[in-house]
Amino acid sequence: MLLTAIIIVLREVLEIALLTSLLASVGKYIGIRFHHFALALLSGITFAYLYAKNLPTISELFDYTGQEWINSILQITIYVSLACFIILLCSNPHRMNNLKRLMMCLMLMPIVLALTREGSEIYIYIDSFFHGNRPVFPVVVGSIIGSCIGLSIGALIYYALISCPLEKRLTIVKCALAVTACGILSQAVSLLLQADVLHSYPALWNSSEYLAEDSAIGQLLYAILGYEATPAPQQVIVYVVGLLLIISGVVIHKYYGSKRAIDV
Amino acid sequence: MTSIRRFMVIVLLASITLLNFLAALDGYRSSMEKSQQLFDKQLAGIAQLLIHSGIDKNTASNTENHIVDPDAYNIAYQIFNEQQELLQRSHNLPDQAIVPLSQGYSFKNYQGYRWRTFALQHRHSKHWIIVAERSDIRYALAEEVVLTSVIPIVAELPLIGILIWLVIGWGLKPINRLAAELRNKDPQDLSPLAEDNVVDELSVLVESSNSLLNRLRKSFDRERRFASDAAHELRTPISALKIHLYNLKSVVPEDNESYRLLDLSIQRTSHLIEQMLLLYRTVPDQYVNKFQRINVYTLVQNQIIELYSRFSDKDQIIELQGEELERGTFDIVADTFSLNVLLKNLLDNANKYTPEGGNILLSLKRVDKQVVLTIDDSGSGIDADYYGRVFERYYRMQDQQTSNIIGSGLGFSIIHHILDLHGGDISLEKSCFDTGLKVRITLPVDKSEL
Amino acid sequence: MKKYFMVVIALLASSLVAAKTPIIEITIKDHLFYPSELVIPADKKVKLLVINADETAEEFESYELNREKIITGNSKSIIFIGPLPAGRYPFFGEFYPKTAQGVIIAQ
Repeated sequence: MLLTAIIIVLREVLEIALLTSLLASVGKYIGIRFHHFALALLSGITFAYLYAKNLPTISELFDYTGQEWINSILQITIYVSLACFIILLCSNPHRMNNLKRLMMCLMLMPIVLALTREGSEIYIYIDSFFHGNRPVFPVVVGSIIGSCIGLSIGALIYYALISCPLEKRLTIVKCALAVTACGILSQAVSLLLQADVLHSYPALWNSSEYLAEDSAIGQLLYAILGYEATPAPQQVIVYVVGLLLIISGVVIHKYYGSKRAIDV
Repeated sequence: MTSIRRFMVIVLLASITLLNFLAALDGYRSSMEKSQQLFDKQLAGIAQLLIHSGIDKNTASNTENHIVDPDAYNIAYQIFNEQQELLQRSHNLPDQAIVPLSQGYSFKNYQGYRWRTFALQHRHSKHWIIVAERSDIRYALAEEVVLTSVIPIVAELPLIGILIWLVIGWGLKPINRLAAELRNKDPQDLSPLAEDNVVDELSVLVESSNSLLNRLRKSFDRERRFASDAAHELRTPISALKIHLYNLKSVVPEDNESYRLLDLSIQRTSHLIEQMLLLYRTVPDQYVNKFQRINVYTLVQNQIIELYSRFSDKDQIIELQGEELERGTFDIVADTFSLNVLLKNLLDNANKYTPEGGNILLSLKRVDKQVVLTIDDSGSGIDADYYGRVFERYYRMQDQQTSNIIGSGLGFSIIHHILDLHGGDISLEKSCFDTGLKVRITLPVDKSEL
Repeated sequence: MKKYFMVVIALLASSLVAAKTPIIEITIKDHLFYPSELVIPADKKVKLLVINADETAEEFESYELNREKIITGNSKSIIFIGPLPAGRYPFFGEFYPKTAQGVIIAQ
């Protein structure tokens, strides 16, 4: 039970911790403060609780595919706000001043939504133990270990990024956020496949022999890149398209921004 | 990085947590695996023991006592003969074999539990035995044992956190001490920092700031000495000039323009030198002051009396308002000499910049722990934009009316220095007359109480 | 860029064609899957009806199938699977992985 608790909690916490540490490391650049993050985390936890409480009802929606719909919508929204955030992060600092409020929302939105999704899963898992007759203690210890590992990784990444010069840090954060966003987008596609909204095709490849998805590295890559050992073709396509959209967004924004600057 | 302490505590704690927990996780995993192997061996051992004990020979199938009820709730078994007919079983298993009869380990879901099974065939009797054990129970048992070694690693973490917090705080103490020393240092105080008890990492910092302070003090000294020496040295030639001018008086006609201008220039130079000497006597960081309790009202009164002839020469009306409601209202702790210099300068300015027949109004008030002196004149005043500039050294109003007034441009600078010395303040406003300047001076009753 | 969009649109369009899919039932009871071995036709889509008869929630999860879904206590849910090439696809309940284990055999 300890191991299960660790894996479940760690998987969810790690995803949020990575996202938060990446966003927080450029937070000062945008003028975001600690209490903004605290507010985002708090509302995320509240939404997670509400989501978990209403999950039985939600699950029955749309011919028992409500869960997939809601989750994929959450994930697509995360992708969209992260993509917009990355694109706006490429503006010059002068223009960014006018966009601070928007960027703040784009930055906190993914945290709130990711926490809603992952938090509800943790809540349901732990809650089921307090209602069962199984020993709770290992689950509590496991949850502590899992969340501490996740938070520690997040804190170390945050401080590693903070110690980088701003220019380099921005580049790293943009790249990392882009792959994370695309990973989340491909998860959304996987959910739509599960709900039969999209037609399933055989997996494009099977790399589980080289890197199993349930191994520690596989889990870490899943959180960062959205790694899957047996991805569906649509997942790969959406991943690539998602990346291309962000890149072209950045290029267009830069071109447009520099043109505007010349006009002025 | 906003705080070294927070950075170090978080990074150290995160690293320790990560390594410790990953090690604990690894230990947990391999211990659990080992324990499962151990349980498997035990299961096989039980099967061997049962089949070789001849238990199967004592019972035939279809007899009443072929169902036994061992008091072990998590172990069960079935024994079959070569024809796969049940010979004996424990009460918690069915009559049919729960797993196919082939030698080895397997898992089976039965009656709401997941069972770990081991099947074995006796070499001679060809009887089969299946021993089953509830996997959730053996898992829970193993976990209970393994957890006891994991828990201390989790429990010690808050202690490690507190320890790191304290140790880093302790280690950073010299930095905090140095910061406090620098913070509490009077801006005027250029004495070196204490160099004893300084840690190696900070000694460079202390040494370099001490050498900086030293250089600063020396250059201040040099500046002061140079100016005051120069002023001092200039006094003699000025005196000589004055004598020569006096001698010249008998030679040149009274109304000679050059003579009049020369006289004015010499007066101006002499005034400048006197002011320079005063200035360097009152520079706050050099001035050795003797503070004592004095009455500002009396001081102002005396100063007016002393300078009264100047005001009457220009037919100016000078008035002092302010009543001492009770004894000590206008008493402040100050240095008499410098305060006199201050008042003399203020009155001098008022006298100089107010036209003949003008008004000068002085008023003294007590506001809380401060004495406020305002001096209004009916002169031409200063444009509000220039209020800040008059405090600059050697700045003089460039103005037709005032260009022939003797002044060094040091007056306000001296006033400023003296006010700094007393923790006082000066501000300029429009005069209460139609034209002119209001100078507001505030002096704390006791600087040390600020 | 355009080419990628074409592919996506083609895939989306084909997916909207719904066909009659066989339903296969699986029950979770006492944190165990009944049956723990499911045989499904290969290269054919199936609708997996998961009934959770326990009080507690369970998460149906399979890395091989790329499926993950929470099934709350005393409820049922549907998961679409396949078409799968012939082979063994293990699945488990993420909340009770030591007991809730099973395998889908596509043949």
